[in-house]
Amino acid sequence: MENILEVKKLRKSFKNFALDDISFTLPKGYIMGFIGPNGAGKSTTIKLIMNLLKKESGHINIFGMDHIRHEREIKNRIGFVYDENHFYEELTLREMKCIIAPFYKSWCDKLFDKYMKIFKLPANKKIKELSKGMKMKYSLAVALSHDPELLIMDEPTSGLDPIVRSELLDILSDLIQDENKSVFFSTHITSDLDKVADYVTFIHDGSIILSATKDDILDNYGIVKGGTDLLNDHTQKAFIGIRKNIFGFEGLVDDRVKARNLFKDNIIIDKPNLEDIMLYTVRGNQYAQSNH
Amino acid sequence: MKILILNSSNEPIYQQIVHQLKEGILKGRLAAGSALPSIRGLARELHISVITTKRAYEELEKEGFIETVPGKGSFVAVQNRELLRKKGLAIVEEKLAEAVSAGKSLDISCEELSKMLHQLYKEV
Amino acid sequence: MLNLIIKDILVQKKSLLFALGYCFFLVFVFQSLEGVTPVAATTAMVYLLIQYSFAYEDKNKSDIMLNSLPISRKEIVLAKYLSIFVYIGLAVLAYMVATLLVSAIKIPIRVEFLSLQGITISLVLVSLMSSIYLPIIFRIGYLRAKMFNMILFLLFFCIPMGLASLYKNPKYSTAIDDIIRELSSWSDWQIASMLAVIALLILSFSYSISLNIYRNREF
Repeated sequence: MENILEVKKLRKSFKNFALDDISFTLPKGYIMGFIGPNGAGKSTTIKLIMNLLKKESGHINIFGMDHIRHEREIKNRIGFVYDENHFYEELTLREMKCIIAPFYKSWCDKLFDKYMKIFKLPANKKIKELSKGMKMKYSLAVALSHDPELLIMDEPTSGLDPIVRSELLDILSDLIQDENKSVFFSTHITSDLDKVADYVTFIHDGSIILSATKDDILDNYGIVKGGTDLLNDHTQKAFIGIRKNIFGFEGLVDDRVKARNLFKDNIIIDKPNLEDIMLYTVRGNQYAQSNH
Repeated sequence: MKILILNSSNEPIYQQIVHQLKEGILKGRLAAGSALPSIRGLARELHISVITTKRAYEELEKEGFIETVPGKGSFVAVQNRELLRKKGLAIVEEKLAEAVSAGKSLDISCEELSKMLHQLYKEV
Repeated sequence: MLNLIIKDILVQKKSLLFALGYCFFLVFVFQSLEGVTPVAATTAMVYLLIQYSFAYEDKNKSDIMLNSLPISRKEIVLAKYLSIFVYIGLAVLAYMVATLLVSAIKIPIRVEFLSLQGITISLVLVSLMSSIYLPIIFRIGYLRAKMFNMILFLLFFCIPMGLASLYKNPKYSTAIDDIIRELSSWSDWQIASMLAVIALLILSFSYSISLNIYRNREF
């Protein structure tokens, strides 16, 4: 399978935060959700991919090419949507389009008009007069009008109502009907991914916790529930995170079968969603420590 | 054709698709040679991952229920329905044998077992 | 590239009108100062337009957007330098419109028309000013660069005064007299082209500094 985006041992440090050797790959034709709590390093990673920040070490290959050596060619084939508006608010939608269009080799006005129509965007209004959801849709219309092969989005759904979010997700699955197109988007709203994502990469504290197909993750991870008498120093090691209460415990494991073998019929195993996995992983150690 | 996905089910989504398509084929609702929705199209319609639908189709292909022609799409395999039925029967037989041996280990009589079978047949 | 310059002007549509009004104001205020009005008015206008173009960039954090497009950082910096000349053109135009209007409707103020000499001087002044100012903006951003404005303005007043006090010292005055005598034997266009070359040299030096700064900037 051909990879459209490859990140290898990427490193970048700031005063009180560092991305620590992160690696993941996105094959062509799929949607990858990039999840993690606020401040985990999602935006930093995206900015490094777009070369808005300078990496310290590591490799980033897009379309099989180095992202700096072939920066211009690559950016010609990428569409981007960021969580905030970075267009000139004083301009009308049409004026802004006219400025951006000539930068792209394959810009298509017809495509742009089509998206403006679908999203019901007013071409003669100023950008500052748009609502947050409209701004995101405008960003998306601009991002898609040069028919990009890779769409990169940083928190496109944050601050949007569920209806607009669901519209966006529909557009994404429409987009990858063309199997040469891929989408990479970050979010802290994991329910967005439960539906459309093919791959999930989970970042926490500057490190990649897991990166796999969503199906594999959801098929293997499990929430184990049982009585606290089952827990000891040995069995506790099987858990990524545990939450105890007076009636028993609930804990996340990354291998349901192993947990079943360990505890036999003394436990029940529930299916987790991505949010459970994120919460247990982020708070995992705290739970374990506070209850020791 | 109808495919209904139950998110809360313990059965993985790809298996739900496999079962429902298989049933459609075995019962003749899906005629041999008829086109199936594309992997990506099905994923979009059902709001699920492309990987899930791909896995379901691969499974069906492996078992000979469908055929995929690169660049054209997937089709219900042109196969002798009798053969498919036989295949299905073999699976039923296998599962029943399992139940019988489990029953024997608990000293359940044949009569009791068939009673259970009758009861289950009505309920399921 | 051209697009980036057009963008700077499009974003500032409103400020352009403001600049024109400012021009009228300056014509009125400086009417008693002989020989200063055209240069002061055009320089001030260009300065304003440069300021505004960066202000809009800063307000929308548009560097993030621009650098995500298939544009090289070199083009972004170069566009800012080239647009200085466009601003000078606009300022000269605005000043001419203002003075012509004032004299056409016979408002009783003394107007001074822009001469070729005046344009040359403002060109040099603007180039000098931008050469110092632009690298500072590219380095520390528009908002913090604003604080340097005062310092920059003081410098512009101090340098001529310093030169004047230098002249009072007899040690230097003969040397300066020599230079002035030498220059006065030059023709106008010789002086103008010499100044233009110097201005361009300083500008291109400043451009290479800015480019170096902007290439390493993170957003």
